[in-house]
Amino acid sequence: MALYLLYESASGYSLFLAGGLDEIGQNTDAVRSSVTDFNRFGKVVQLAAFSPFESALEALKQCNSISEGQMADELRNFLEINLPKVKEGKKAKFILGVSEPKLGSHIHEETKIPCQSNEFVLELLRGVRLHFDKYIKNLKTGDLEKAQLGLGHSYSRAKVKFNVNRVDNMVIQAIFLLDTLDKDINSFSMRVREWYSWHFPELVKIVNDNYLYAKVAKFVDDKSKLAEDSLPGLTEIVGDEDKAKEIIEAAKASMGQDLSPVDLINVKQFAQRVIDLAEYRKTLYDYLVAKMNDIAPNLAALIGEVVGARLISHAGSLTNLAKCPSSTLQILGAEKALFRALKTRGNTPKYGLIFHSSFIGRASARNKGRMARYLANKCSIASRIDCFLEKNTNAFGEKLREQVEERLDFYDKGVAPRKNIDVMKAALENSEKKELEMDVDDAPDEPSVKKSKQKKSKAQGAEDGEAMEEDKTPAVTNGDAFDEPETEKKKKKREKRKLEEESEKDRATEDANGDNGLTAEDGTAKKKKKKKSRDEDGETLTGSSEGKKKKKKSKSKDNE
Amino acid sequence: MSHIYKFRGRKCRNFHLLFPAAFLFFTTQLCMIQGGEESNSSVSRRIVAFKPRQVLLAQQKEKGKLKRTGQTMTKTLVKEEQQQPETKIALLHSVIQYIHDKGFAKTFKRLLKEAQVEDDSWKADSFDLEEMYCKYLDNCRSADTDFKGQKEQEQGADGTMDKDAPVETASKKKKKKSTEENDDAKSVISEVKADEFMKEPIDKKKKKKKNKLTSESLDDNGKQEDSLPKVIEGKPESLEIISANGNKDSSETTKPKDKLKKQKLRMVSLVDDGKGAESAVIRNTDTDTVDVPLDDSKLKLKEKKRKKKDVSDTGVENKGNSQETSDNVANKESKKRKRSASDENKDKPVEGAAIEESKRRKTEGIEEAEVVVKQGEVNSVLGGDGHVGAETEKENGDVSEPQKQFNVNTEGVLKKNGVERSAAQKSARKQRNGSAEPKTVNAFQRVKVDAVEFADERLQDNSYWAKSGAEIGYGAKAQEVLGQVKGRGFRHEKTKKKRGSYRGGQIDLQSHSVKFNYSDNE
Amino acid sequence: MVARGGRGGGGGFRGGRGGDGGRGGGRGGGRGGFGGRGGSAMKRGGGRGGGGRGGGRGAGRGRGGGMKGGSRVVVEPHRHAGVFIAKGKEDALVTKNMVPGEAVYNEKRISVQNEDGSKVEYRIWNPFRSKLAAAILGGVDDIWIKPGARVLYLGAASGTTVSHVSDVVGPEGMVYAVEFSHRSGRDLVNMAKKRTNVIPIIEDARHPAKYRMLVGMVDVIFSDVAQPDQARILALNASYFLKAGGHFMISIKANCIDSTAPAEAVFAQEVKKLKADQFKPIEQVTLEPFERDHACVVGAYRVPTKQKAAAA
Repeated sequence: MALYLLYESASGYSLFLAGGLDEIGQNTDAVRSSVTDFNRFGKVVQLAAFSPFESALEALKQCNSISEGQMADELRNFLEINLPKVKEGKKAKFILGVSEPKLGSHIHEETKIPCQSNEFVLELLRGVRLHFDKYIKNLKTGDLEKAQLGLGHSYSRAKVKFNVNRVDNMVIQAIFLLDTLDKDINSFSMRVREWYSWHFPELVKIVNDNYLYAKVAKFVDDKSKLAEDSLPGLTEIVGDEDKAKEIIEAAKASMGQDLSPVDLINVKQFAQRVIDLAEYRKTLYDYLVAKMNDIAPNLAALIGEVVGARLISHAGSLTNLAKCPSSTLQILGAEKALFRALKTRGNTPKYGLIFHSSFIGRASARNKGRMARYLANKCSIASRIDCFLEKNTNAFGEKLREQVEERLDFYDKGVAPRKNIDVMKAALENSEKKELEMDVDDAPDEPSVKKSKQKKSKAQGAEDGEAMEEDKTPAVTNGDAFDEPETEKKKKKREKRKLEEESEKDRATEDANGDNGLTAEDGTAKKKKKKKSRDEDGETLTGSSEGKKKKKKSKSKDNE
Repeated sequence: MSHIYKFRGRKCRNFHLLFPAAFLFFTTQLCMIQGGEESNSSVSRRIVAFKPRQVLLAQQKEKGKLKRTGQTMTKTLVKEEQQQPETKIALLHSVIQYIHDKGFAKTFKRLLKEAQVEDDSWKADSFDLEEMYCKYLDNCRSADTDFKGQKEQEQGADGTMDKDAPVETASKKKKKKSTEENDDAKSVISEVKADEFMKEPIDKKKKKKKNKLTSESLDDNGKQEDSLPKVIEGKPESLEIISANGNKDSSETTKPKDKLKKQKLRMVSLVDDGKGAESAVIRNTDTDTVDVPLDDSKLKLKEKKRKKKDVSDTGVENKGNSQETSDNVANKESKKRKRSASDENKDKPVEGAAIEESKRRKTEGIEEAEVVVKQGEVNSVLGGDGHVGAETEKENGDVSEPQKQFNVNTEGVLKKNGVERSAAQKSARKQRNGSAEPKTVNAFQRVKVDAVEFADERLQDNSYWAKSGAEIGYGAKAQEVLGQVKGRGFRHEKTKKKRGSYRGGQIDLQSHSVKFNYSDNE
Repeated sequence: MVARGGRGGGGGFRGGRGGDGGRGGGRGGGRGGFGGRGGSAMKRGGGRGGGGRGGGRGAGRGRGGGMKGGSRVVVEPHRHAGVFIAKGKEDALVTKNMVPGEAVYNEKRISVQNEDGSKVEYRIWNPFRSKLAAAILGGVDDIWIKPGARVLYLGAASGTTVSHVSDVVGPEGMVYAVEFSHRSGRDLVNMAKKRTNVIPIIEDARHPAKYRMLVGMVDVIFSDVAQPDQARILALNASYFLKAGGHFMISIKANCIDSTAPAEAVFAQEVKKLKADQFKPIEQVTLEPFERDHACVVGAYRVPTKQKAAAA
């Protein structure tokens, strides 16, 4: 009776024929002794068939079915092709040895192949496992290990539902890049200004903004060629007709020297570079916002994407941020001041990175510390929810934000805030409601899953002055939940607003959040938040941009 | 509220902690008030039973009992004497004599003063406590052997009693109780009492219970010895009675058997070693824990009692517990209840929690016979038990304290309430208690300690210092810190070490493990 | 001040290293740039990406006992191949970092410059966190985990010890890390992303048949599962994956097998169980003081007996 052995490996299925062995006569000890030596073992057991897996996906599928003890179709095909046919009604002239009785019984059920999985078979399979790479000629050393590595990773990730989208590393990288970009854009812009001023010095005073300056410089090129007919173009760039007129006037009376065409070309190219960088920065910012809403929606809802991203990057990861106590979170970013104060027994700082959220700015001087502490507490809660909650919802973040607002009101006017337990209950209900809605239109998971985002105007404004433009670009998205199937974006329904602008879904889908955002399109879904804080946008914008500069300064100090 | 706390900063953080204390205080005050008003009704008893410990202590203070010493005992003793002059005085005198004989001069003088006994008047009707004790021990031991044989019967009886004949058992128990006063040899209670008495080691400290007991037994001084054999007789009789009641339920047999074993064990153990009530209690609980879980009710009851034992604080808590227990008791069978009922009738201030706990402890392992107990009785019982327990705690090193207390309580019940507790029941419980054998059915254990053979002697000690090269090892410094602590402390210290800044000196490269030797044949 | 002083224990910081911790924390991505500072054997605190502020501070605070930041240490190999000792005023057990510049669990790292100018980084192995380190420091004879070995690690948890095993076996070896818990599994998978010789397997170690496709034949099985039937688990896995003549290391937690019996009896019984399963225990060492009531047993599997060797 021929004994076949089915051996499943990470590279593929294999079938071995164990000939030359009298099963009844063999005891396991004898088998064992023959196993160690390949020469002997190779004579006893020969490779009958080997079919590698076609792709990693298929390997994963096979691995899953093997782990459950089920026979997948590919395995069935493999067996039927390579084993002698089992004639109907006749007893099979061979036996298939498998490692697992459950799998064996399933195989037998489906294909009538008699299976066995006793100790003898297991010993032989041990031998096969030991010498497997010697059997398969095509497999170079290390191939099998790589296959195992890849298959192991995919299997394990599937088990823990390793969601690539919820990796916080992207946010950390993005925020660093954002800061670096800002610095670079600034220095390049300065360079452009200086350089072009040789040719057209008055422009510096007229156009203050770096980005605009670069654009104007690129447009104007040679100031002598500037005429009235370029007024509309100029107006479009600077957005202000008076300014455009002023520029044209200044160009006529400019005292700058002329530049050769070559020089002008260089300046122009450089200006173009700056413009491109600035635009890239914009897309990067959108990417960051999208990622933040993906991995830490509650934190983003509470203090804004940028501040949240900074906190996460400072802590090292979202998990680290969640682990640290809220007092730590309060002074994250002010370590220098903290330790100096601790050493000299002075007053420790009241806030660190947290300061750049709008709430601290809005509190009166007396209450800044209290608000900082309160906000840090809520941020801690939000970050923990984000880190450990399986489902992705920002209901809690919103409620926490409301609580902070209420706290602010309380300090200002003495209006008693709601009880925490009520707020949290409401938050729970909201999150469940949202979940229900999302379940209705469940979309297949894709590498780039996008969600509608809420835009915190103030947070946005905090980034750069150019953000004002972003504000104005028609933010789209949302879309009704029922449009889901088309877009494959996860959507959140806000209760308060029913701003339902139809998202430019095509744009949105193309614009993968996972991309580097090289496409200049701004298709990321945004939602504007109607909040009372909107009114304070003006203040907060300036305040936060100052704060940003402070941040930059402090960072540069730290760098030294 | 939290906002307010926050507002006021850290000062108010502890405010919330004050709440329970305030509440407790309030409740105790309430209890005190209530207790004061109705002194003799059953309601008051109930309330008195649930007096929180603080209240009781305060009351005691009011009465001028400040110390938890023999002095207190003496005073209460004196009180008792006034109530039951004859018996108490006789016991008092015998105790005085004992102390005098043993040469405790100061105590002797103090006792005389406090007891207001005239000199030499105590010599008149005092008896030799040591003698009594020895005799009691002898009797107890001989009685035990009898009990073991009748264990099964009892077990069966008890189990069936639970279900079948509550009334009958109640009446039996009542009967038992009625025999407390050395009337009826058949009364199990008297036998129980006698057993308890026998178990008591003669102690120099006076105990009210002991007093009562001796006073009672002193009534018929000469009857003591008689009572013992009577008691022994009574026990088999009671056992027969019990067994007659029910031989039906076989499923219960094992459980009652266990109980009986436990009780026997307890009685034996109580007799044998002269340790404190705590040890008796501990033994009780040990056997209890080892016991195969019985009825849910029994189990619950036991668990509750165990829990109560663990809780040693507020009377409020105990109140709740005792109410629960009393409910259970009312529903289920428990000789404990009966016993406690008998214990109840003391009008000594109830101490509260501890008392109840110790009472439960005592009654835990006791076989439960179905007893219908009045709620009030139960409550008062519990109260009384609690009280007893407190006294137990007060006294040091009394072995048979629980038993004594039971005795005393029993007497108190008879005397004060006039309610007939099922003395028979109680004594039956005692009987089984005394005849309980050590548990042979153990909890599931993966490792049978006896069957373990060590391949090497050094493997018998897993501690750090027993390892070779321990002094110079990398872990020596850590062991000095971690070796001191266990459990939570160890976890705390270890967490500190996990920070990663630990350095233990030089790392030695030698091998310090224990090698297993194999002969060539293996 | 008292209240504030309690915050973070920053009082332990000395020598103006506060900025160091903060800076280290703030530059997750840019850490590599700061890595090779000075070239001398210097301690660097903090972990990957800053490791959280606590981490940064913790590193600073933790400087005591002779391993202050910037202090010189000499790294020497241990008796076991792949394991090293950092000798200074006080010693520490270290392994060579396979992913220089990153810490797995905020452990301290030591950078050493070779004669030829290249930098080698070592990670400190904390015996309170790792039972294998505790066994090594307890004086086990041979751990059998050496560079190039293939190790099956049962009970990998979040991968803190697995990372050190991966350091020891090096790029030629393989570590198959089996862990059932999903939460720890995520950390394990994350750690395995950086170390290509670690294969994370999120599966129950009781059913080796389920992950038989992912594992080849191994040389050593290290088991730290803390289950009452751990001997059976080890035997089952060994029958599938451990080569004849291979070795095992099992960390026995007495409490989890029988909390009422004395620890020594539990160990003796486990050893007996192992002997019955074709294992040959060679040595046993206690893990005190690093763990309470733990022991580590090392042995061989399917040792060829002399008769068989003669017959073969």
